[in-house]
Amino acid sequence: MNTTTHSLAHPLAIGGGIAALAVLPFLSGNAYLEHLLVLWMLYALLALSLNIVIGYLGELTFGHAAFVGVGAYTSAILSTQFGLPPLLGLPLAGLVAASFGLVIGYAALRVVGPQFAILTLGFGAILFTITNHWVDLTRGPMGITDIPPMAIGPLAFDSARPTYYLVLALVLATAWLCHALVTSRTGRAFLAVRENAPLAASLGINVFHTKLLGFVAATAIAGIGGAIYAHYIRVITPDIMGVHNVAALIIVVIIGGRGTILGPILGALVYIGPVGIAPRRRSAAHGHLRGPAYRHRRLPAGRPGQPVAALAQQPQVGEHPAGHPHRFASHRFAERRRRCEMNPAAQEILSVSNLTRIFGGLTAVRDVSMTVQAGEVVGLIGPNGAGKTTLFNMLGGSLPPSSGSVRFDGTDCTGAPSHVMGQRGVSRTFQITSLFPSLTALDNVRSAAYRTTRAGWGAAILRNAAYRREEAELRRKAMEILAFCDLDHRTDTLADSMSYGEQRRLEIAIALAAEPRLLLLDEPAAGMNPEEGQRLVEMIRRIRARGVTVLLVEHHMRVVASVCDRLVVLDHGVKIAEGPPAKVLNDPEVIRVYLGREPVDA
Amino acid sequence: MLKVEGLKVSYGHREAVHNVSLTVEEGELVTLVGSNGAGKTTTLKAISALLRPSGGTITFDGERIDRMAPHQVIERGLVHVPEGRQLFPDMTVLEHLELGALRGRPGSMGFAERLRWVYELFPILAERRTQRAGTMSGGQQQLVAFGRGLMANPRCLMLDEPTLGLAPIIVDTLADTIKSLHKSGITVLLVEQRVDLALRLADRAYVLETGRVVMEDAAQTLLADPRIKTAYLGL
Repeated sequence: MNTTTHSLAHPLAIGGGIAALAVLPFLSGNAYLEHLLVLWMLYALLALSLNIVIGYLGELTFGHAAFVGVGAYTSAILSTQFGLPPLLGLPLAGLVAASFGLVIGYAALRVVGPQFAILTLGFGAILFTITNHWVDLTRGPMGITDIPPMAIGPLAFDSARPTYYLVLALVLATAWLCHALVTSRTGRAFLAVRENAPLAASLGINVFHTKLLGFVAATAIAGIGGAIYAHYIRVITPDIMGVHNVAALIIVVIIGGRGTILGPILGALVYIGPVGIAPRRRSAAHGHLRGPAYRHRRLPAGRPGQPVAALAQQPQVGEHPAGHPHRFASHRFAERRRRCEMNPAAQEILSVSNLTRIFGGLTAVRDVSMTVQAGEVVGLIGPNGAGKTTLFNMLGGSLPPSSGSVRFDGTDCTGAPSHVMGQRGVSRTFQITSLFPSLTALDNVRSAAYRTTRAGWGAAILRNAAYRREEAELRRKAMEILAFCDLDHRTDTLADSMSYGEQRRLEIAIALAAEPRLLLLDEPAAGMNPEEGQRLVEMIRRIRARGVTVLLVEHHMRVVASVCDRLVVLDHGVKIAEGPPAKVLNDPEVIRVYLGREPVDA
Repeated sequence: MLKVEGLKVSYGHREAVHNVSLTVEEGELVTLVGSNGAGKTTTLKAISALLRPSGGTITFDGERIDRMAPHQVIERGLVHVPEGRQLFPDMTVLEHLELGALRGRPGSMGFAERLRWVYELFPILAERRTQRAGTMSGGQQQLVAFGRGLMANPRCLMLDEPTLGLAPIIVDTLADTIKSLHKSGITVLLVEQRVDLALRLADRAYVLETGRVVMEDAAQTLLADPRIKTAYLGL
């Protein structure tokens, strides 16, 4: 009953759209309009590739036109100077552009946001200058003018119509690639990184590698697009990397709706369209189509990750996994719990010794040693500024310790970065609500299951059996976790439109989706009233029953006292007490520095 | 002093506050209690003009404020300490306090005097005056936000979950601080998840559920009400 987890929402609409695109050249009736159709498809192709970076990875790049240029020049030079058949030039153009992408991405993706955008702008400017000045290779500002058209045997792509079909095929293939991407583990990692990089890392996603992969894939497609452009127009100049092309591609993506599949295609139409209606002033042979931006009507911007119109991958509402939602996981977790209990050697899941962290002159955590046994719920309490969150950050890998060591599950993990700790089975929530805001609850949980899924982008393109099985399994698991966290009625709700209480539960659902062995909860009861706190206590007990060990920072003593087996108290970065709640909460020193006079019914 | 009548606030198409009416008399300490999502924060944001109401009126000292810009509301002495700290991570504690005074109500106390007053209330802020807010612990950041609000020289202070993320001992101190601010003549409208604490501090209370006022009474009366005990005190 749950055969596929994703389907293109309206196969009929898509089929109709493709058919319409296929007959379009016959309806246009004149060569100039056919030429514009080719340009539309070319822009659509390039915009789709740029959309991987802007839409899915959430990074603005000003360098995309440069990669288009690299592809165009690669193929043009190979065919004019080395006599290589243009069709062979296409994959090579993609390869060379991707190599440039790899090098640039490797250097530039160390930074994010505006810094990254500026680096790509600089890279584009440098490449533009080199192309202009390396006359021997590129023939400088005059450009390469005798580029042969592509041909397969007798079929030559020397006019608009055959080229149109070639690019249309590539656009459809790229659209499929993008669809497969967003419905794959790889693509969910892209969205997770875009939405919330620290959280993504805590779930075991290597943020840098994910971004690099997307960036290189985008540059490869850009290179191929550039090569087709070169062999179609048969003339290229360095202007292809120029600033107007940079702007044009970004505009196309933005007006179409970034993070969608149909968006860049429609955006390209809006961009090229006005040229078709406008009086012809000059030959468009150079492709310098300065579509008047002020005339662009804004298309509705799609929700990121949710294609603008018919191509939407809509989660199937009301579709429930076969059988009882708890059955699958409870079985798995019960088994793991048994394993923990049977193997006394694995009892000590976390062991911290002499952990110290110094910020400038301030020692936030000093010589803290503690252990957590598998299956325990341990509370970490202490005054504000005592170093609790700092300690958490060191355990979660987002902060390297200054000295001391962390052992998790028998392995030394000192200084391991966040995504490595995530992969080993440490998940965390954050003090300030941290989730993937513009994804649905279901996609939040699915993105979080990165550690426990395998099928990548390739499998999603092929839709093979392994992929389908894993998707079905993942959906079942995600539904089970949402039900576990009392969110099964909110499956399709966007995280940022949920109430605060629901968001806090979703955070825990996200952490659980990574199937952690140790869960770090940072002030889960903050902002909850006592009644909600009581529900949280019950939830933590159920989490423990799943075989997950819990370490929590919390200031609500009623929550701490009723759920924790053991407490560790920090003050000024030093451990001052440890033991069962009843003992620790009556310790005079703990009362003096932390509890004050508030009564605790431990 | 503060009068809210028939307030409606929507986020897009979703109406979060349906019909809230409440009054706060000069010198009172009034609290709003209710579950998460009941509309408490939304109500405060509408009063301080951070959200524009879709219906109803808000008056402060007899003057309509529901069409004003946030800074105009602050200049009249109605100051909102928002939920969740809302600090600028790269600015120092002192810079936050200076920022709080920027648009504040001109009053008898000068800047230096006000600063001294805030440092006395929260000695940790004096100690950490040159530290960047982003490097402070969550609870300390909460105090910076509180201090920043006080620098605006409020006549009426709206506090949204001031004890969020604070250690029990600081919660007690903060409760004492709120009490003494109130004694010194500042009117307080308090939103707080620690319902028992809020009701013990307050003169009167309103209970909000799904965007509506469902109960309104003296805080002592509500504290003894069995419905409140089961729904909000976890007893």
